[in-house]
Amino acid sequence: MRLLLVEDDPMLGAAIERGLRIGGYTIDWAETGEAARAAARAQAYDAILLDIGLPDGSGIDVLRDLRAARDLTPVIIITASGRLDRKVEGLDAGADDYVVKPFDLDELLARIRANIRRHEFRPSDLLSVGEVTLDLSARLVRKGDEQTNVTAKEFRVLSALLRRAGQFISKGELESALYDDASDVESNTIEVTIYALRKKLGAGFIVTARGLGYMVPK
Amino acid sequence: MALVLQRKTLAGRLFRRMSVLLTGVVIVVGAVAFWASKRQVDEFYDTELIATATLIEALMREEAQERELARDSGSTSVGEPASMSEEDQEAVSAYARWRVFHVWREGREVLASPAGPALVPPEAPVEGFDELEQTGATWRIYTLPLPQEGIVIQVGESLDVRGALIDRIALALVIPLTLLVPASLALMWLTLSDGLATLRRLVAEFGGRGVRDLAPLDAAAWPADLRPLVESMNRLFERLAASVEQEHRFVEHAAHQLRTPLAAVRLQAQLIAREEEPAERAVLAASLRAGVDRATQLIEQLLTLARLDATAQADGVVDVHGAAVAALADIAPIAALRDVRLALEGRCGPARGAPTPLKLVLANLLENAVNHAPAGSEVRVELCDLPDGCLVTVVDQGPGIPDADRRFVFERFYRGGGERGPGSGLGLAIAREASRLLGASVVLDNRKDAASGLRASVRLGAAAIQQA
Repeated sequence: MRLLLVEDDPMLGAAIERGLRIGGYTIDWAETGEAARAAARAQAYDAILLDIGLPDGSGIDVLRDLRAARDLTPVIIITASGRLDRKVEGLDAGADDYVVKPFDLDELLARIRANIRRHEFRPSDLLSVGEVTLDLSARLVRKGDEQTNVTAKEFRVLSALLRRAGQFISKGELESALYDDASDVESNTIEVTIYALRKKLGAGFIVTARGLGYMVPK
Repeated sequence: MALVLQRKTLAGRLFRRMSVLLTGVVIVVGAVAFWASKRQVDEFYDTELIATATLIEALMREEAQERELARDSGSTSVGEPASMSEEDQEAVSAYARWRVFHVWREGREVLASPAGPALVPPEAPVEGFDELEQTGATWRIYTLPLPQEGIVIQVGESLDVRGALIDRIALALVIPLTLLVPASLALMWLTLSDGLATLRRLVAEFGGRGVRDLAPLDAAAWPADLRPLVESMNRLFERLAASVEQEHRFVEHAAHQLRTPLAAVRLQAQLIAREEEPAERAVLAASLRAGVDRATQLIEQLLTLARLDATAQADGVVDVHGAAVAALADIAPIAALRDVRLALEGRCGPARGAPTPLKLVLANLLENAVNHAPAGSEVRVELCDLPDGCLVTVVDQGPGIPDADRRFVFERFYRGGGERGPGSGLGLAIAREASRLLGASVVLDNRKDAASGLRASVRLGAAAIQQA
C-alpha cells in the first residue's frame, strides 16, 4: 500500500518513513505543501500523513485543497499541538484522524490501518478469499489453518490483490504498490512474485489475463 | 476605628493631626471669645459706673437748684450741704443695689450709700477708675471730681458682679466648645473614612485580583486625585499583560517545537528496538543521538532567548572590532570542520550597545552563515565606519534566502526549506532579539554581486559622546 508522508522536518520524516516501511507500506515523502499537492494529483494514495506545520503554509490548507478536489483519501494529520481547537480545526477541514507529537509508531500504524479499513468498508484487517487469509495488522498469511511464509514483496502484492479481489489489477499498479520509485523496478519482479505466490497458495489462486493484469477471483 | 490607632495608617495620621489642629483652634477661639466678652463686660459696667456718677451729679444739681429757689423764697434753711433727697437716694440705691456711692465735700462725707467699703476722701481727686481691695472683695471705683462745687463723687462696684457675668459667659462658651470638639472629631472621622473608603476600595480592587487578572480599571470612574495612580497601575498592567502574553506564547511555541525532535527521538528509539541488523542499528543510534542533540540545542537556544527577553536594553559602549574577532574565533573550529574559510575586513570604532547582545548577534549570524556555506567557500565579516555608527555585515556564499522566505526567517523556529543545515531555526530569531536590544535591526539581503550568498547586516548606533 502506498502512503504519502508530508513532513518538513528531515529527522522526523526519516524516522516516520523508516517506521512505515517496516509496517509494509510504500512511501512517498513530500517536504512542502506544494510538493504534497503535486504528489496527490499525480498518484492515488491509500492514505496521507500530513504534518500541520509546513514551511510554505499550514497542512490544513493542503487538506482543504485535497477535499475541494473531491479527493477522499484518508488523511491523518500530525500535529505538534494537543490543543483541542487545533484538532477540531483539522477534523473539520476534512481529516479522518490525528496523532499528536510525539506519537508511538505502533499507534500510528494502527491508525493508518484503521483509516484504510474504514475507507475500504472492510470490517477487519483480515482479507479472506477461499481458504487464504491475509492479516494486515499481524502481517501474516494463512492457508487453511497453516501459516504460509511469504516475503515482504509477496505480502505487498498479495494484499494489493486481495484488497481488490474480483478485479483485475494492472502490472503497473502492482509495481507502484511495491516500489517507492517506479524506475527501480526490475522488469520481471512482478512475474517472479506472482509465480512464488501461486506456488505457495495454489496455481489457480491468481489468474492472469493479457492486457488486464492479475486478479484473485472471489 | 482600630485602623486609626495604628500609627502608620494614613487615616490615623490624618486624624491625629486634624484632632490636634481642631483642639488648638477651639482653644484659641474660646480664649479670644472669652477675652473679647470680658472686655465688653468691663466696658459696659464701667460705662454704667460713669452713668451712675453723672446721674448722682445731675440729681444733686437739681436738688441744689430747688434749694436755691427755696432759699429765694426763704422757705428752707440756709447752709445745708448739697445733697440728694431721700427718694433720690433710694432710687439710686434701688437702681443699683450692687453699687455704692460716696459724695465728699471738702474732705467730708456728705452722702453715702448704706453698705459698701469704707472709703477715705481722695486728697487730689482725678477723674477715673481705681481698684480697691476691701472686705475680701475687689471694688472698682469711679471718681468724678467737681472742683467748682468742691465736691467729689465716687461710685463703686464689686468686681464680683461682673465676675459672675463673665463666669456665666465663660460657661456659655466652654460648654458648646467642649462639646464641639468630640462632635467635630466624630464628624471628621466619618468624613475621613468616607474619603478614604474610595482609597480602600481601590486597594481592595487591586488586592482582590488574581495573578492572571490584568484587566485595566476604568480611570474615569475614580476621583481625579486617584486617577494618576489608577492610570499608572493600568500602564503597569498593560506592560505586564504584554509580557505575560509574550511569555505564554513563547512557552507554548517552545513546547510545540520541542515536540518535533521528541517525536523523532521516540520513533528512532522504537526503530532501534525493531532493528536486528547491527550496522543499521548503529545508523539509527547515530540519528537518535542527533535527535537528542537537536532537542538539547533547541532548549539551550530557548533559554538564551528567554534570558535575552528579560535583559534590559543597555546603553553602554562596545568594541565592535574586538567582538567580531572574538566571534570569529569562537566559530573557527566549526568552520574548519565544514571546510569554510573565515575573514574579517575593514575596521570600525566603538558603537553604542552592550557586549552580550552584540556577541549573540555576531555568533548567531556567523553560525547561520557557516551552517549554510558550501564546503570551500568563505564567510566574511565586514566592518564599516558610518557617520552615525558602525555597519557590521556577515557575508556567506551559501544559497541565500529566497525573497518569499525572507519574512519568515526571523520567526522563531522557522527552518528554511530546500537545502538544510543543522540548527533549530532559532538562530536568526536570537540575532534579531539581541539586535533589538542594541537598538538596531538585522537586514537580510542576497548578494548583489554575481556570487550567490546572503548578506546579513546590522547597523549599530554611534557611541554616545561622553559628557564631562
